[in-house]
Amino acid sequence: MQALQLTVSPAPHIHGGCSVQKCMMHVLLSLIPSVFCAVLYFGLRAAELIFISAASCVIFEFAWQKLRHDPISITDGSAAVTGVLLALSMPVTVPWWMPMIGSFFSIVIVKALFGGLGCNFVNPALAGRTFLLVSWPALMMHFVSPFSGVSIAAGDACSSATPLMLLKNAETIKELPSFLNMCLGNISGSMGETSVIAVLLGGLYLWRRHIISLYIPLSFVGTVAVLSLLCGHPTVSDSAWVGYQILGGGLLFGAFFMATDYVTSPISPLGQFLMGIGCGAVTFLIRCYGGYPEGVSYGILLMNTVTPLIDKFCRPQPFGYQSGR
Amino acid sequence: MVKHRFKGGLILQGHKELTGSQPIITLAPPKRLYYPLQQAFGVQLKPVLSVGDFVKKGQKLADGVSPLAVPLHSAVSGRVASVELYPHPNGGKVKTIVVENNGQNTAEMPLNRRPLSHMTRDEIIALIREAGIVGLGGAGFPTHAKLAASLEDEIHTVIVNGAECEPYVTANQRFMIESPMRVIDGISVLRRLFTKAQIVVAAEEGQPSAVAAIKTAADTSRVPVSVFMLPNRYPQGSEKHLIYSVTGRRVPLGGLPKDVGCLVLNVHTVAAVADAVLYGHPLIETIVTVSGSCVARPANYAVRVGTPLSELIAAAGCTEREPKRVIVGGPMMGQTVRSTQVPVLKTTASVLVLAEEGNQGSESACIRCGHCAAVCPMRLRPLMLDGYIRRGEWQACMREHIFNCIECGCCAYACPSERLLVQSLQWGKQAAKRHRLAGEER
Repeated sequence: MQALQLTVSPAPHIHGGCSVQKCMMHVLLSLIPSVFCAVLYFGLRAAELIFISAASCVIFEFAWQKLRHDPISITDGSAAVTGVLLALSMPVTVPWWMPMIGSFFSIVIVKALFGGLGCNFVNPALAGRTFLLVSWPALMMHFVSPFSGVSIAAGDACSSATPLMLLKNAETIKELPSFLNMCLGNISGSMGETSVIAVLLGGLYLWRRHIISLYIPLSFVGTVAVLSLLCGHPTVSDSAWVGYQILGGGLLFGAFFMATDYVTSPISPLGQFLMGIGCGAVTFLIRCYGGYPEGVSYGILLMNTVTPLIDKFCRPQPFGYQSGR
Repeated sequence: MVKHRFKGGLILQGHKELTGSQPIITLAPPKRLYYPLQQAFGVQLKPVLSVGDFVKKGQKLADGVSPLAVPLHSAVSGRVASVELYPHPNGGKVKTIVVENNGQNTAEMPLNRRPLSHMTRDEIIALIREAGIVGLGGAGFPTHAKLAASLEDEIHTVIVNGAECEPYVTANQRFMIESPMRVIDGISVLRRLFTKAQIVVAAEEGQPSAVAAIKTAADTSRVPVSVFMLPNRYPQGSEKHLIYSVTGRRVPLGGLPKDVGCLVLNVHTVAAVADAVLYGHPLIETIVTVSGSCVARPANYAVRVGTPLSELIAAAGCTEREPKRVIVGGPMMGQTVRSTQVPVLKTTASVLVLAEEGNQGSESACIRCGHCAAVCPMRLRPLMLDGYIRRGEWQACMREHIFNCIECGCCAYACPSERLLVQSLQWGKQAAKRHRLAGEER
C-alpha cells in the first residue's frame, strides 16, 4: 500500500459529463433538418456555401490562435456552429467570398478580439450577417424562389420577394404564399429560415436535450404575435397577419438558434423571458415602422448588448434570503 | 410526498447497492493508532498524558481550553508511543499522538454512572463534552456547543438526520438497520433535553429497510418519534435543505438552525450521545463506508478512531485496478489524500478508492450556459461569483451573497467547461472575509 501514487484533486470528484464539445455537437445535430431543407429547396449551392462558411470560421479561429500562441480550441465546435448559422442566415445567391468575409468578421472581429469563446458581447454569427447586410445590402437581399437551382448557378436567377417584403408593399400582398408552403419552406428567403418545420424540429431537439430552455423562444415569438395582433394590418386579416409575421421571416430561426446563444443571453429564467420580450418588440417595430422588411437580427443584437444589464437586475433571491439582513 | 422541495440540486448515480445490503464488519484495532491534535474549526488540543504513559481504552488523551474543544480518547489500551508530526486527512502534517496497542483492551471506568432522570440539563451537556462527541455528519461541530446554544424553549423540532445524499455512502443506512435501538436511546436523551420539541427522524426514500427498523424500534420502546421521508436528491442532507424539506422553514442567510427553532443531529451523533449519557462510554469508534471501483469487498466497517486508512483499505481488499485516488468523505465534498497513512477521524464517514483520475485542472472558458446557477441549491450564480473572484471584486462578491455558498459542488459537477468553481469559491470566501474585516477596521 505504501507505494501508491495518489492524485490530489479538488472536490467534487465526479462530473456530470457535460462538455462544451457535446453542447456544440447537439447544436450542430439540431441544424441538420435546416441544412437538409436548404439543400432540398436551393440546391447543392446551399451545401457549398454552408461548407465554405463553416470551414473558413474554423480556419480563421485556428489561424488567430496560432498567431497569438493561444491554446487551439477549434475542436470545441463553437466556430463550426457559428459558420453554419452564418451561412443559413444568408440567401443562396451570395457569391462564394461573402461567407468568407462574414466568417472573418464573426470569428476574428466579434469573437477573438473580445477574448474568444465566452467573451463576445454579441452573437458572432448574427454580427457577421449584419455586417454583410449593411456592406452589401443588394447581394444580401437578393432572394430567389426555391427549386431554381440551375439558374442560381448561372448567376442570373430572377429575384423573388420574401413574404415580409411582399407585406411591405400594398400592391404585392396578393402574391403572398400559402401557409402550407411557409411551413414546408417552399418560399424565398435565407437558406435556413424558410422551413418552419425544420427549425421547430431542431429547436425541440435542443430543448429535449436540455441545451436550451424555451423562455427566450416563447417570449420572443409571443411578443411578436401579441404586438401584431394589437397593431393589425389594414388589408390582411388578423390571423393571416400574425401567421405571416411568425412564419414568414427569420423569426423562428432567430428565436431558437440565435437568441438562445449561451454567451449573449441572460442566465436566469426571468432574464431570458425579458430578453425574449425585448427581442420581439424591437423586431416588430423594425418590421412595421422601419425601413427594413426584417428586424430579427437587429432585435437580437440589441438585446445581446442589454444582457449584462438584465443579468445585473435579475439576480435570484438566495435560499434563506430575508430582506433587511 | 414532500411538500417543500428545494430548487436546484442534482440526482446523482448512487452506487449505494455496493454496500447497502452488506452487514457492518467490525475491524480489529491495529497495532498503532494516530490522534491528530488539530480539531475542526482551527481548535488546537494539548496532550494530557506524557510519552511512555500507560493508557486505558476510553481514557482521555488530549483536551483543549477553547469553548469549541472536545477531548480525545484512546480507542485501545497501551502506551503513548510518541507525539510527532504525522499526515492529516486535510493535507499537511500536524502534531499527532501515537498510541501503541497492547491488545488487552483494558477499559477505563465509565464517565458516568448516574441515571438520566437524576441529571440536570447542564450536567448532561457537560457529559456529552467529556465524551468527546462532535457532529458525525461531516463538519464535526462540537455537539455540546450546539446543544448549549439551543435553548429548550426555542426549539420546536429536533431532526435526527439519517439522509446521506453523497453517492457510495451507506453508513447511516446500515447503522439504522442494525442498531435502531441506539438511535432510539439517543432520542430519549434528546427528549429529556428538549421537552417541548417534536423529534423527527429524517431518512431517504432509498432507505426503506432503515425506515422500517427505526419505526419498529420506536414502537417497541414506546418513544414518540415520527419518521420523515426525503427524496433522493443531492444535497438533501445539507442542514438548511433538510430543515426546509421537513418544516418548510428557511434558515436565514448567515443564521443557524436555532433561528427557525430547529436542531439537526446526525443519527450517529445521537447514538454517541446515548452511549455517553446512558452508559458513560466516550466516542472511540465510528462507522466508515469503504467503497469505490478499486475495493474488492466494499462494505461498512466499524473502526476505532485513529486507525490508519491503509489498515481499513487492506481489510476491504483491492481489486486488480490500480488506485488513482483515495477520497475521505463522499465524491462530492470529500477530500483526496496524498497518502493512506492518514488516520480515521471521528467525522470520517467514508473512504473511497477510485481507479479514475479526477479533474486535473483542465478548465476551459466559461460559456455562460448557466447550468451552475440552475443546479445551485442556495440559488447563487457561481459563474458570476467565479468571475468576480478572479478579478478580485470583493464588493460584488458580497452583493452576490458569496458567504451563502455551502460548497456542495453541484456547480462544478454540472459545468461543461469543467471549471474549478468550488475551489474558486472556497478561496473567494476566505479572501472576501479578509476584505470585509479590513474594511471594518478602517
